[in-house]
Amino acid sequence: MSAQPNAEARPVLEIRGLSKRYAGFSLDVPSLAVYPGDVVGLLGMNGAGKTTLLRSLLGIVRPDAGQVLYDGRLLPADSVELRVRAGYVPEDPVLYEAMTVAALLDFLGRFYPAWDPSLAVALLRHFGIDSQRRVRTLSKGLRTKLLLVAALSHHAELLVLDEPTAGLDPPSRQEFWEFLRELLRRAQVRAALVSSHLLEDIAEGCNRVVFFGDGRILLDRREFTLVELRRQFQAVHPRKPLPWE
Amino acid sequence: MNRRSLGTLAARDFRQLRLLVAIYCAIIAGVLVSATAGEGSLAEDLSGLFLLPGVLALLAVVPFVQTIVWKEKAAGTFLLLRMLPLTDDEILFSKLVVVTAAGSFILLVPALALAAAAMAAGGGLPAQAGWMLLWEWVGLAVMTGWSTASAIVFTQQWAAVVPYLALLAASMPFIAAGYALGPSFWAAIVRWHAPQWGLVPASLLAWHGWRLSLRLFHNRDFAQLVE
Repeated sequence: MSAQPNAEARPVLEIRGLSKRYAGFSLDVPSLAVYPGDVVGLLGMNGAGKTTLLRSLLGIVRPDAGQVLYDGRLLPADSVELRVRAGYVPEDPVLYEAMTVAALLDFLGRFYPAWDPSLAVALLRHFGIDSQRRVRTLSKGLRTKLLLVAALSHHAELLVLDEPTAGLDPPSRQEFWEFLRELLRRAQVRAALVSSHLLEDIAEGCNRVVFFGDGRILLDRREFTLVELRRQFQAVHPRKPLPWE
Repeated sequence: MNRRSLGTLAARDFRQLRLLVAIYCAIIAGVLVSATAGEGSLAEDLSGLFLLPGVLALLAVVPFVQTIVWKEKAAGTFLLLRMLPLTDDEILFSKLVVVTAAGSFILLVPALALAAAAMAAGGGLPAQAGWMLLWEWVGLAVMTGWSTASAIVFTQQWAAVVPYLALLAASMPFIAAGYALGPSFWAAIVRWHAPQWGLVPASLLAWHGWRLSLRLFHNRDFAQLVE
């Protein structure tokens, strides 16, 4: 199933036989490999299984079955190693509301051996976040940026981003994708998994697209255009007739 | 377990409890001062007074757990903690330790102050004072485990009520027998070495409460709760 860049490349991350069941929903990913340089766009409607896949991958929710390999090494079921190596930005940024930005980053930084406070300060400045503001006063977009700061400040090798552009205005979205491309270009991160339901976002920032539907991978491609993505999306999710049609 | 991570989590949790601990300490201090300033001798009141910190510590466990376990669950911030490189055991163990430590502070500081005051007044400690303290502490450990398990599973109201009901159910046979049989019941308890032998099942109960809360936390899908 996984699109492979060349025969010799070894995946940064590999998922085998991952499954998770909730009432009325099941996620089944037989195989997915992420290679160095990949910016994998996970595309699908709300409830398609993108968030569940990302959370299961990191052990935030407990998968019912499956294996995760990092750099070819099988990670034990309760391992937190991937959370040390990966930077995660969740869809709903739940944070300690009463803390200031600086206090929150100080708190989070204590859990990462490679935390770099000066990088955190530089990133805050880059994203225009005042470190003395209370978290509760931040907009959704700023919270997402704050979590991106946290994700990058421990020198994450892999980025796992769940709907990172959902709360951002168009210029911020463009800035985000440029920033991500620059990170990859400078080899600051090895690969990224980005979920979205916005075709334009995936076409703009990703070099590989994985279509999700009903908890399953429907398509995995490296070569694509926005027009092709639209066509594929409509094939997977046909347009419903309007009530007056 | 990673000691640095545990320390960071415990320090944050303890900061949440500072105000509550101060309030309980003030209540205990107020009651003790007003009781010892009365007409009766300290030696006569000592047995009753010695029970007070233990009872209040037991009652304090539920608000403590509500503050640092239930609130975290309701706010969805367990999800934030699960994003960090922390095992479930580390996340919850720090909370169990902090609640037990805060309860122990409320229990031990006034009890030791009372003992010192009694010694200074020339009186001795009440009979079985050591066993009384030890049993109060074991009760605290049991209550911490069961309250935490309750906070993980139930809504706020039930999480507050269930541990008290369990405490009442567990102590009711002893209270009833004490009323029915009078001092002879407590004399029989001491004669049969019940405080010593009873520690075995009580410790198992405390251990079970702690393990149960860890297992429930492990199996709880906090991501699903906030979606």
